[in-house]
Amino acid sequence: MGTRKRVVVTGIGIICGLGNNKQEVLAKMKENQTGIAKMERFDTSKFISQMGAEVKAYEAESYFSPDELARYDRCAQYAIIAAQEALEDTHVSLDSAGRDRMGVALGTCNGGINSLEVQWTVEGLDKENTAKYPFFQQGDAVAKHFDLHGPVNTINTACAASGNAVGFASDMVAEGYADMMLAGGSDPMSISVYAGFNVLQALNPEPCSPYNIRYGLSLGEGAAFVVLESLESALQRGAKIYAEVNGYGLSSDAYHETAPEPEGRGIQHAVELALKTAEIDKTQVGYINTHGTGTAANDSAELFGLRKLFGEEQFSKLPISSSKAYFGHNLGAAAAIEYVTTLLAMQQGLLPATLHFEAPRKGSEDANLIVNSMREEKPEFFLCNNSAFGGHNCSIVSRNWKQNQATDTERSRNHSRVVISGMGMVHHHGYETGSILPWLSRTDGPVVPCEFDLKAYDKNLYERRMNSLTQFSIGATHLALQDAGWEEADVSASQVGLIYGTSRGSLQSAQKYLDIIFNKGPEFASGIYFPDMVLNSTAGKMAKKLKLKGYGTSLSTGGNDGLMSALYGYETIKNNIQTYCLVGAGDERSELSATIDRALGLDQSPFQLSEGGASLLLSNLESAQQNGMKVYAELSGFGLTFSASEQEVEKQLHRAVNTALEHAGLRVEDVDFVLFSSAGLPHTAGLEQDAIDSMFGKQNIPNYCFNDVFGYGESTSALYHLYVAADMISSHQNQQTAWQEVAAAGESLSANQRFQHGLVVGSSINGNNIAVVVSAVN
Amino acid sequence: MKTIEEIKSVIKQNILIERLELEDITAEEINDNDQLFGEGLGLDSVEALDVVAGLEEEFGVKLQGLPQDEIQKHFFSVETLSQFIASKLGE
Repeated sequence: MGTRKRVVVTGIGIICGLGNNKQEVLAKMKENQTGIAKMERFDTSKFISQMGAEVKAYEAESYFSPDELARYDRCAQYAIIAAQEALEDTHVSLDSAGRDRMGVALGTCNGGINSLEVQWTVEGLDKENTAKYPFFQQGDAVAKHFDLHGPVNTINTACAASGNAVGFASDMVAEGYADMMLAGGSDPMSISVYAGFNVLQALNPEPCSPYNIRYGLSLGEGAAFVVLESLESALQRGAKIYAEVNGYGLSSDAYHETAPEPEGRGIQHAVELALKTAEIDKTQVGYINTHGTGTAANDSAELFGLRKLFGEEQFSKLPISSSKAYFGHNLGAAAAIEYVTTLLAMQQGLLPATLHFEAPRKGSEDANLIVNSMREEKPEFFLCNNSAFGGHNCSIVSRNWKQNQATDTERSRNHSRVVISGMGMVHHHGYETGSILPWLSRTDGPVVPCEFDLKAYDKNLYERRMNSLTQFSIGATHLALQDAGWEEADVSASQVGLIYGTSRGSLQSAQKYLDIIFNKGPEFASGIYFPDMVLNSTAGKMAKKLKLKGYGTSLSTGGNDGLMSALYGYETIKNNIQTYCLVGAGDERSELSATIDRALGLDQSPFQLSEGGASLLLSNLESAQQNGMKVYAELSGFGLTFSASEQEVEKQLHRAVNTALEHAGLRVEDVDFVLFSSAGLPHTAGLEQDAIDSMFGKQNIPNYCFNDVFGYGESTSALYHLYVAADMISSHQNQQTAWQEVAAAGESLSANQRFQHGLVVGSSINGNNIAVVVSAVN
Repeated sequence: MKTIEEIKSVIKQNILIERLELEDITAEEINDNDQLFGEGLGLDSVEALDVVAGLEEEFGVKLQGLPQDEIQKHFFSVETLSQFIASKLGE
């Protein structure tokens, strides 16, 4: 039995098409005004719509110094502005210890795409702008700006991303990884994205009005952030509390790259999981802020799913609205903007409305829609729902603190032990299920392209134009399921989850899409490559091809993507949200990828850069044993921190390791071996090694980095090390031949050495540190 | 003015094979009356919209905003699509 802290919202910040702070936004909502108007940022004359909700009178120089502007894409700029307002709202002054215990979760759909658009080419890109493009840079920039050293994660599940970021951040506080979290989302207006929605004919020529007889969406831009902390801390310091985040749910449609499953099965499952984790009954829900984009495909599917879940009677009484008519569809920032504006409205005893409404479209007639002006109503519990390209859904359950308050600060939770039951890997060395120890002795050959061909491996898993990243990742995940002895029917019946990490998505696909935009013109955008511009496209295809309909998300950390996925999967199984969860990561090399490597300084790495994918099937130990599944090793504790600067490397690496050991109930002396992965860049490699040595140097234990064998894969390397750690522990336990070969080759390894607990540590180029203790199950 | 055979050839080669990157099939192997969706070439709704964008680019016609039922009617096969484009070019 464990405990879970109650988590509350104590600060809010926002910038969007309706206003540049929360007072402006709320005032306009109360006047039933919209921020959607004729677009000014770029020429829209060749598109089917000219509408958009742009941030008005934005002067970046009034917020940022020239040096900051050189480092922050507009995505990070909006995020920092909203985060700053949220921090001021929560009235906390952070000392060094406070900043160590505060982290950032940011959701974005398009990352720093503006920084490529200003160059209007995918060839001959410069370093300064290009370095601002990667998605993880947005979350990392917020953490660096405020000098925060807690957990940092960028969620990339497109239009569900910032809802998921709020959920992830609430986990970080509830489980004690952080005392406070900044959580939100950001996406600036982008011509390439506008062009994509144009070619998909999703845009409304008029300002959008979801569920109304006129179809189509309006794009918006902006950011919103909340400050989350434990209820205990908020009460202690007398902070203003807006809401409690009671729980949230994620799901994967496993259906289509852009369209939702027509009966809204995905959003229904997300809501079910949200209610389950919140421990409330569906009859207690008093309002739903829906995703409601305005498109034919989304709105009908979403209402269908909700009607099915709540039953016709409750559904027809339940007040619902989509807020997108106020400030457009803000994509990665949508959930956060809709969430905070709902909280602002609730402060006034009001609920947001859907503006510009004339008459309900077919399929919306029985819904209790709040239209054209805000409604006086004071629900206790409400949902904030969002759905995305790639089929990812997110639903957050919150308690309106004005209406009612919780009295206890913690909830008890049954905790389960989490083990690795299947492993699969696709790499230039080949593809494999289970043990890859024989690969460790292959240090001679150069790192070469990964030649894995999914069509040749299994043509049913392949579809046309599938990029390499998706092929590697489906391959590795299929291998992990094979390793666990699972057939397709088992997977489908088990509602297995998929948490996937990718720092860049497929730049092969992105390059094709952007090349057409920049060279032929935005009106000729490719509809078939647009869906791959969102990084969760790969996880969406993995879910669809392998029928993974459980919990689902995709994230970016710029070096710890696989380990962050493992941590996330571990938490969902530990907390009994899921019984089985696949965690994976992939890397893909391409021309554009190499350009970004140079911009990030990865060309300075002593390791050759590699591509491939790895996947682990995590299971609840009890279920694994009952079903006679393999058990490679147990994940017994995680820790995560963010260094942000060279001065902090040693301290923050130690904090990550100490947290992992503490969660595992172990001491430094209990660790039998250490595997450390980083890019090994010249300015930090020594600091990282010193940090590990100063902790474990006194013990004569093996301390390895295998990036010379595997090459450095930004998203996968740290996960390869977790793979190898589980492999070493399991092979040692079983005294397999492969183990003896490796032991014979290794200098400091002896076949009789103790291999009870291994420590795996990954560190990204920006100092995202994750440590995990891997233990033998005796 | 393009002949109907030229239109068919552009649709098969430039749009279906090159733009949509259909695999395991050549332009010569696509029959005029093969269904574009479902059982035939198996195109999906996103690919249909990309065919619209491809036709606009290749033939300089305006098709954006075409209702879904019109797409279904004219986008049945290379034959019906070519007739539709020929009529658009003749307007």
